[in-house]
Amino acid sequence: MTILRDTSSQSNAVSRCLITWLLALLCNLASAPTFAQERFLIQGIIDGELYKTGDDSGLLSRNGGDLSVLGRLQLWSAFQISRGWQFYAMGEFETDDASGERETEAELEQIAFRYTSPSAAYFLEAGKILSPLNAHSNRQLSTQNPLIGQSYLYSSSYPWGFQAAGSSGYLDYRAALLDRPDINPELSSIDPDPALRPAFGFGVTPFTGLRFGVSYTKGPYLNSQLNSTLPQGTDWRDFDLEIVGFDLQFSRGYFELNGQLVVSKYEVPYYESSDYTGYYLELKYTWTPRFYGALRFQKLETDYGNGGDYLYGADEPGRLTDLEVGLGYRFSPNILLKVAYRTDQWSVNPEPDYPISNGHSVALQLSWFFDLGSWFMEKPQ
Amino acid sequence: MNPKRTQQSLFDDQSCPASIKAQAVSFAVIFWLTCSLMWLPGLVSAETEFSTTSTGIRGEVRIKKNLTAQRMRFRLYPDFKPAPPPTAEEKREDEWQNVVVYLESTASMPVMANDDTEQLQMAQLGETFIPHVLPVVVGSTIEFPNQDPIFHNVFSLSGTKTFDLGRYPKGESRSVTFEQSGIVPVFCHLHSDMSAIIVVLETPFFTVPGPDGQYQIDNIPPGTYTLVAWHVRSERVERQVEVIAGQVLEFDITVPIEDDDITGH
Repeated sequence: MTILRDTSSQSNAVSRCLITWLLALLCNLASAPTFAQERFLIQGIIDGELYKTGDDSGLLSRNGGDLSVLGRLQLWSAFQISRGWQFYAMGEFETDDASGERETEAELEQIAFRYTSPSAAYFLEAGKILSPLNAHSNRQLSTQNPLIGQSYLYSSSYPWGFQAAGSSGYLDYRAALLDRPDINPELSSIDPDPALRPAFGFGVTPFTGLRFGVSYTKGPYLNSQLNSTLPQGTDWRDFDLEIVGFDLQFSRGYFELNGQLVVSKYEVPYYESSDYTGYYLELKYTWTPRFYGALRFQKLETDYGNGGDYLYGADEPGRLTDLEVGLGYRFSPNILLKVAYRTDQWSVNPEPDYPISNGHSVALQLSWFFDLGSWFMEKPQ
Repeated sequence: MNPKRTQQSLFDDQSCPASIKAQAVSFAVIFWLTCSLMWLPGLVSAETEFSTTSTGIRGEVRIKKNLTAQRMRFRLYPDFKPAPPPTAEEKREDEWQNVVVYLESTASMPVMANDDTEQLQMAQLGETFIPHVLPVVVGSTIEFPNQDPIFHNVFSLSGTKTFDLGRYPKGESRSVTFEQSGIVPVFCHLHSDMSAIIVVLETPFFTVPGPDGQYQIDNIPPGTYTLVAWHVRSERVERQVEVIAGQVLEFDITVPIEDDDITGH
C-alpha cells in the first residue's frame, strides 16, 4: 500500500483534521437526517486480511513470514455545497503486525473541492487530489481491485494541486499542476519536497470498451536537505524526474483487461540519468454473477546507470517479475471475499554481493463497502 | 351518479301515478326476460366484462418529505468521462414513480405475465436506471437496453433473482426473466451510485402513481384484498379492502404510514 512520508507532526495534524471532519459529518447526519441525506455522503470500506508470506522477499515478506492479520478502514465523505460544487475528504486507518509489532496508521489521502459542469463535460478539482498519471487508481479500493495486492505502478499518489479534466467525443483529458512527483515510496528512498510541476493525461476511446491513454509529467523529485550534498552551483530543483505513461483498457461482456506502461527518467546528481521502466497487464473474467478469476503480471526493469545507489540504495540493474492470481466471490453487492497467490522473482546482473530472494505470499481478504446514508434512508425489506 | 339510488328516488316520487308505475315495471320485466332468452350466452360474458371494468380502487398517494431526499451523486475516483452532475433539488413529483400500489389476496388470483405487446424495460441512460422502480408480475421478461455511450454492467445478487449481464455498448440490450416474486435490487458494477429496484409481484393488480400522485387499479375481481403501498425507504403500508362488483373504491395513502394515513370509503 502507499505510505506517504509525512513527518509525525504532520501525520498527527492530518489525523486530527480527518477525525474532526468525520465527527462533524456524523453529527450532522444524526441531527438533521433529511438535510444530511441530500447534502452529505459518508461511505467507506472495511478490509480484513489474513496473509502468509515467505520470510526473505524484499517486497512481499511481512511479519517475518509468520501468519498475520491486517485491518483497514477507508472512509470518505462529501458535502454538496451547491449544484455542481462538492467538497470531499478521504482517509485511511490501518492496523497490522507486519513489522512484528502492532502498528496503526492514519492518513488523510484526499481532501479537495470539485466542480462538475452542468453538462458533465468537465470537472475542476483543487486540493489534495489524485494525480492524472494514475489511470487505474480506483483499484486502490479493495472492492474495485480484482486482486489483493496492487501493482507497483498504480500505487497512487495524492499531491496538492489543481486539476481540470473532461471529455469530448472520443477524447478525454486531464491537466494538473501538482506539488509532488509520482514516486512509489515502496521503491524509492527519497522523500521529495514540494515543487510545482505540470502533469497531463490524454485518452482516446475509439469505441466503447477500448481506451488508450498517455500521460506525462516532469519536475523536481529531490529535497532541500540534499542541497549540501549536491554538486556545487546546483540546487535540488535542478534535478528532474520525467515520467511518460501509457495505459490501456479493454472490456467486453465478462472480460476485462487493463494495462499500463511507465517509463521514468531520473536526473541523478553526479551521474547522467537513471531509467526505470515498468508495465503490467491485468485480466479478469467473471464466471458467474458471484464468482470471478483474475491475474496480474508485471515487470519492473531498472537501468540505474551509476545512479541507482543514490535512488534506491542499489547499483545493479535489476528486473523484477511479479505475478498474482486470485479468485473473488461476492456475497452481496457490498461484500467481497478474495483469495490470491503472489510470487516475485528477481533477476540482477551482475550478481550482487548480497542475497536476492524471490518471494511469495498467500492472502485472504474480506471487504465490506458501506454507505452510512443508506442506513438512515432505507428500511430493510 | 349512483344508479340504485336514482331508481329508488324515482319510485319514491309521489307525483308519479300508480298506473304509470305498474306499466313501466311490466314493460321492464318483459323486456328483461326477452333479452335474457335471446342473448343469454352473450349476456353472461357481457355481465362479466361489466363487473370487471367498473370494479377497482383508486386514490391518491401522498409522500412525506423525508422520503423525497435525493441521493447525492459522488465518485471518489471520477471516470474519464465525468458523471452527470449531482443535484440537491427535491423532485417530489418523481418520488411517486418509486411507489408501487398493489393488491394481495389470500385466495388464488390470476397470475399472468405482462402482455406480450408490452415491452418491459429498464434502460441505462445518463448513468441512471430508468425507471428506478419497476413492478412486474411473475414470469415477466425485462429488457435492459444500454442507452449511454459508455459501458454499464448490470447485475443483481438478490435471492429472488441473481444475474450479471456483463458489459455491452449503447444500442444493445440484454433480458432477464423473473420467475419468482420478491424484491430485486439492481446495480451497476462500474458505477456504484447506480441502483434500481424490480418488484416482482404475484398479482397482476398493481400500479405506479402518476405524476400527481393519483393511482387507479381496474378490472379487479370482487373479493377481500390487502391493499399495499410499497416504497424502498418505507415500511409496507397496507390495509384490508373489500372490492365490490360495480364499485370503484377510493383510498388515499400516505407513505410512510401513520395513524389515519389511509383514508377511504
